[in-house]
Amino acid sequence: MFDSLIADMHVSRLIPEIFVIGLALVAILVDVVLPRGRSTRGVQITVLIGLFAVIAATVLGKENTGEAFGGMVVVDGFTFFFRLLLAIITFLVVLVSEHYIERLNIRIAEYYLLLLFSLFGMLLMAMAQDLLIVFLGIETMSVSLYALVGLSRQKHTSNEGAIKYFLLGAFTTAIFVYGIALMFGVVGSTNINDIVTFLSGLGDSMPLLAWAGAGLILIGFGFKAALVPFHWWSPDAYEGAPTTITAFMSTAPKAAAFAAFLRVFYIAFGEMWGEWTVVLWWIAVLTMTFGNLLALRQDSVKRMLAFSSITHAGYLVIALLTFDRIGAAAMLFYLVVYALMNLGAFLIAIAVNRDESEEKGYWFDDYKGLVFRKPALALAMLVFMLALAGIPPTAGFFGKYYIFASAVNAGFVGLAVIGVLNSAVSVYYYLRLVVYMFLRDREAREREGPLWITDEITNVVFLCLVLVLLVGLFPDALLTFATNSVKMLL
Amino acid sequence: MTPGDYLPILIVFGIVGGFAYFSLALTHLLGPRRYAPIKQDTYECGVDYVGDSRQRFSVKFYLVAVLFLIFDLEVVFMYPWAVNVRTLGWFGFVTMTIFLVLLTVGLLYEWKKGALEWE
Amino acid sequence: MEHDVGHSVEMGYSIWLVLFPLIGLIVNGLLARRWPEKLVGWFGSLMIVGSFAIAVALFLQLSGLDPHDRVVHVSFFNWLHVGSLQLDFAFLIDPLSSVMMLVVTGISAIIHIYSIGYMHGDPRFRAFFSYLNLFVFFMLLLVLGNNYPIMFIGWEGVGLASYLLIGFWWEDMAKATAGMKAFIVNRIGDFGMLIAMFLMFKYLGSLNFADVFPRAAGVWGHSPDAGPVIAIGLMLLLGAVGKSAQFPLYVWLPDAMAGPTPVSALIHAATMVTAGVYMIARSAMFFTLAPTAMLIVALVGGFTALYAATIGIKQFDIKKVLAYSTVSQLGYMVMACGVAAFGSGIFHLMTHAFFKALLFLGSGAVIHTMHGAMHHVNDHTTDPQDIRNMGGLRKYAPVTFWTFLIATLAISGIPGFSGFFSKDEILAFSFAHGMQGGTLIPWIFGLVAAAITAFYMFRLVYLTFYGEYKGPEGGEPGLKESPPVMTVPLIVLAVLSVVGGYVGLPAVLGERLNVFKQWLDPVFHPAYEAARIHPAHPTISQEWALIGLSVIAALIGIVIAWNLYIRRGKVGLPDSAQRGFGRVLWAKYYVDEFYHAVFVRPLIGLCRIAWRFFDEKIVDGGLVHGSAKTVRWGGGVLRQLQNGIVGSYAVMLVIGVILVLLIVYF
Repeated sequence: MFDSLIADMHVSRLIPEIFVIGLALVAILVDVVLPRGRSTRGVQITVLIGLFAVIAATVLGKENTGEAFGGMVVVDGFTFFFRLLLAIITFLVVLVSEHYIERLNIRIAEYYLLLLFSLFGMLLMAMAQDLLIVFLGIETMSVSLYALVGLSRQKHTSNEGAIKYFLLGAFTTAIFVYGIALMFGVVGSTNINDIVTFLSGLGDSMPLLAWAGAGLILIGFGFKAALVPFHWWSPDAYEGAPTTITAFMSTAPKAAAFAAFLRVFYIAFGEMWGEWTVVLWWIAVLTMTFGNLLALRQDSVKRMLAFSSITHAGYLVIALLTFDRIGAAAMLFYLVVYALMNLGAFLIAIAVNRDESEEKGYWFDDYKGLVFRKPALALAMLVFMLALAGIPPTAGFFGKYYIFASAVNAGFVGLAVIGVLNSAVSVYYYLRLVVYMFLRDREAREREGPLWITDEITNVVFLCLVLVLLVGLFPDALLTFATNSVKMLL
Repeated sequence: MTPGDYLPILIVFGIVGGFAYFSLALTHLLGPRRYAPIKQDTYECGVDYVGDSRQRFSVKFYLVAVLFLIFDLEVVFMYPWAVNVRTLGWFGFVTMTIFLVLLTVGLLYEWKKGALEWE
Repeated sequence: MEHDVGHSVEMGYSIWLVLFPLIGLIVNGLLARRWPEKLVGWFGSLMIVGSFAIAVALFLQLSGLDPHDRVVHVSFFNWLHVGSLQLDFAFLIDPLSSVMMLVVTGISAIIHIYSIGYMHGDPRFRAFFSYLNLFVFFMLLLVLGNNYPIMFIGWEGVGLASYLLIGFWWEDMAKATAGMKAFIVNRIGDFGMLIAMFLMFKYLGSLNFADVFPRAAGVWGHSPDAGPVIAIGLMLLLGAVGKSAQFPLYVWLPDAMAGPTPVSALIHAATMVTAGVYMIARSAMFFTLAPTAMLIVALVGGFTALYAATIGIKQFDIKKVLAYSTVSQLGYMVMACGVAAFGSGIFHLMTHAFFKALLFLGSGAVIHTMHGAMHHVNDHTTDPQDIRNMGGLRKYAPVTFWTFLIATLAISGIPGFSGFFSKDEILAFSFAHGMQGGTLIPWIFGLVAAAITAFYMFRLVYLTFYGEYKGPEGGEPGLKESPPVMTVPLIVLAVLSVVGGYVGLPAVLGERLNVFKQWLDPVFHPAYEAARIHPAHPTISQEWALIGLSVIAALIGIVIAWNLYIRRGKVGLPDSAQRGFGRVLWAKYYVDEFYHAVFVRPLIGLCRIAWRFFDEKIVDGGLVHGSAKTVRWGGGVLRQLQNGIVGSYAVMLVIGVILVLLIVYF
């Protein structure tokens, strides 16, 4: 009786996701079984091995594409791209975390478990073909992130960030669900394929309810991707969170949010796209400009990077609103590049920060004379800053280049101009950090403490550095991959 | 269905609300009022109160409440399954097993982490 | 331009042009930690000499070809093949790029050797040489790339190297800021380049030189001054205005003199700043197809030439004078491109590279000499770069004096020296262009600027080398000529500054004698043909008259300078005594102050508003700001969060929601 149902589930297509959940269960058991002192290390190693298996399963199952669970989710090239990206980011973050959470005095295995749960949520978002699954993914991801942000319990900034993120997140969740409900009211289904079939049948007489529903869904995505004016939570949450989590949050969940955003809007609301570009145009301009203006005046590197990550989300919106394959590919390309350079920059920020028990920390002043104390590290930071500013021959240049080129190609010349101008402004605060690294006065010498560099940080920074330069010199492979990944969408 | 069809419902609403308001207003206007300290007490005819209710409760209460909720829901899910166990067959059995394994791991976790111990 | 990608000529070894500096960079930057200073310096220099040798070989091979075959694309690997964007990592070797690579590698080699002496004893000697090699690497990419993206990578790369080198002596915040200023002002220009590239891709579907130019000719050849091509031209011009320090973005160049003198000579005089001129010449097609854009190019160039020259009159820092003179000379080159005399622009680029590098290196030697005097009397307050403290150095540093004088004669346009030939050619073409239906304004600007140039350059020479020594008292015994490693490059450059001009003799002496023009002309032919324009030539009699005019202009300038500083013995007023228009010139027309007031201050103000209202009040409002608030945290967290902070977040979120819905609704 249920044979057809089981056959329709195509469980084998979801092996990576099942692995993640299975891994979480195993990790819980490992945590429970091992004695208190050694459990986090054990969990970390379990998670690393497990994530490796997840990545392997993703790669091996590359050809096994199609819908699963009766069309609720779909496994295609796009899913494959994000599975890899998200799993690898999580892997790298887990890799560098063990010593860092020890330093923060939050050595609890839940740290890794929460990361796994949020990874699961993000994977759902990337593959969802039904608004309810998108919602489920967003919530699974967010609830874990709320807890992760507040993990440094001794710090007020951490508590504050978590509470703000949670309250506003809950608020936006309501808006998002309301949007889904309105959409359901119009269409009678939450499946994005049904939605597009229904809406394209309507022609010009699109009911206002559908507009409102799509608008509210857009706001939900905007919140998760920290787009102005829905970004209010992000500076506080980014600053309060343990820095590894900040690095994670500014890369992976952002990528997942854009993945779901792209799939839902390109497919389900493709009919209404012309109007959405107006909204997104303004959102892009505001997001870029706002993030830049605030980043200009920061004296904390962590906060500067937090604001600059808002700006980068603005660039991604530009790619999104082109509504063509070139733009979508540019967005995917940029997400990878952004993850690499941001991860690298945050890890170096961890290494340079003097005192983790300080409420704020991560001062620009700590970077004074870094070139003379640890030239290799300073050089790496220079490369990441240049990449973030979009200067060749780093990957950041091509990331921005493709985005702006796609915008001009799609006819958004004005937007590209504003984007390029913004990236020119951003050079100011990225290079300010570089200037600090070269300055060394007496006061700076007195402040100098030992750098906090672990082997894992060195390795991951080195990996990011090599990739940022390599992609900068030979962007071909990654761009081809990104282009192939968006083929089935448009 | 036109909005006009809803009119009877609206009338019922009006009558219900009106009646409630009318009777409350009536007792308020007609009833005699005599105040005394004892009469104003929280428990007019019970034990004397200590402090007010705006107190901090130990987080353990919440923990127990949340745990209760989860396992209570588990039972809610199991009832319909148990009723239809023959119709659902192996498919239902496997699904339920996965569900129970997830919860069991959760239970194990709570237990080992000491969430079930009061002190 | 013929479509001959994959030409059979074997020029694969041209990759060594960029490999040599790269090896120098890697070895000096990473491996040579324990090498002695001398070895580091000579190794770095040797790599550049190697590049120069390759450049010479390529040049000889190219000149052996038939003039029509002198366009060789050397492809090394597939670089970007995505969709319709097909780019190879490939070099374009043609007469234009061969001139550029000879100039770049030649001057670089000389300056590398000079730096061994100049940077002697600097604790970051090794870093200096790796940065210099980095610069040469990117500069060669810029001039050799066969498509716009490679050119752009070089373009940004030289900016990066320049940034690192301007701020080389970081300890000083002012120098660090000068580096940042240069970088950011340049970003404005780069933005133009990027937009131009996007537009090209949109309208022409490619970014390869070999595809873009013929397609542009095909698309716009019959409708000159079409909107898109004007836009492309103006955006490219914006790029050149940033990189080549034209009005109004020239402000970064004088500040860039904060870097070590060899850097000023190499990057901020001879090579990098001329990249904009090269780029315009390379993109000649877009300009000939858009006469409006070209007119603006001519006006910008001519105005810059005049404007910067006037500022040069009242500067007292020896390097600042040379900096403004560089801006002014770059103006000439841009102006040449604006009157369709691209070849003359490149000619002046080359001669200018010789004599301006010589002037900068000479000024370095002068500063070196002044340091000697100051050390002798233990004086650390006198500014060794202020020409009011110099005077009479002719006796103490004769080699420096004579070479400096030769360069001065060259830049002033005295017949027989290289600058005369190139500047005269530009003036002749701009005159002819004006007579042919254009405007004579650029020519007038250029002529007046020529007189002023002669004036301020001779003022510089008189104040520095003639008269009485005015430096720290008792310092005379410390005044010494610089070591041979510095003076030999001066002599080499002095020779080039004289003979460099004879490759382009004026047409009056015989049409066939202008070898340089014949060499370059095939490069620009397609651009002329597409727009069906013929570069205007002055008649023989006109040209003689023009030569006479420009020589007279130069002589007037020299005579005035001689009258003021030799006959009357003026020495220049102290800063505080500057009055009237002189003060305006001394203050560089207050442009920096103007930019500060109009762009920087409002931006900072905007930031402050954004910061105050959105960050400090709302975001930071609830944050821990010092101990007083920390105490309140225990009980106050929730109250603070509920009364305002998260509430205001939520309110703003709702406002955002309403806005989105409103936009959708309408």
